[in-house]
Amino acid sequence: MKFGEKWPEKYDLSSLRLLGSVGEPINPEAWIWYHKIIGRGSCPIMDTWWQTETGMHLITPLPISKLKPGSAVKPFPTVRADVVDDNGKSLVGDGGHLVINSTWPSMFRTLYKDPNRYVEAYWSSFENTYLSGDVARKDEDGYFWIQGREDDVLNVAGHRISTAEVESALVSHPSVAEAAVVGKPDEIKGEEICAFIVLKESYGFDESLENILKQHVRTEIGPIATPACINIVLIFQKLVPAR
Amino acid sequence: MRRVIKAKVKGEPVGDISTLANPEAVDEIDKVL
Repeated sequence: MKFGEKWPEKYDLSSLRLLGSVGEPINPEAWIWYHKIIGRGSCPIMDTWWQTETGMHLITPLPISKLKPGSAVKPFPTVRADVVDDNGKSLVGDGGHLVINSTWPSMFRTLYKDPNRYVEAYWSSFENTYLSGDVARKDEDGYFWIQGREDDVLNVAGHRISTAEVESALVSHPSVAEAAVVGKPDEIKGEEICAFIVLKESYGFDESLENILKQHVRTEIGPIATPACINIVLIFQKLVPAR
Repeated sequence: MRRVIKAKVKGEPVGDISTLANPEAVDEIDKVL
């Protein structure tokens, strides 16, 4: 996205039939770009959710699913997933703990030499329920929107804000190619929102951009989600995909 | 990616970065902080 469309245009992408997205939630802007530019608007995107611990995709579109940009769609057939609050009550529309209420073929059975930790970390929050440690939102159509790790949810003056939500808002601005949001400890608010962005190549740095982007996030999400600082970097660290 | 940035913002050690494809990008974070 940062370098524009001239790079994918150099290649013959006509044999592509299906696109994948793994590792982290993909934000809607990147999804749409990927769909239009790489997939020529005709390849379904399989944005899957799973964990090393689950051993298989538990929430995933099928090639025939109706897709929504940025959603991992629905649980794989036979898997029952839900989003619940701290008391285990099922939520629709609000963010909460992503849990699995069914068994699945590739369940991990214990942690190496640490069976108690396995029970405590994954099976002790809610009865007969696997706690994934991820935060998600389920919409009124039953589509799952993964928001990130529970550790990545910020607590700003008592409000729970997902880093993925703020990142998606930043990337929805035409100047931003990539965004990463973290919490910076703050004595009064608990945490404040600290954003790092990579600009698209066609946008140069401009003093006014920081305020424009803060205002943009404010309009997209609300005043509480306004970043305290926005830092512009040239490139982000990338993980070597290991799976 | 976020783990490294979080550590930098908090002034904590970044830990193992051997799984990064471009470890030099960590310097980018130092530059702006």
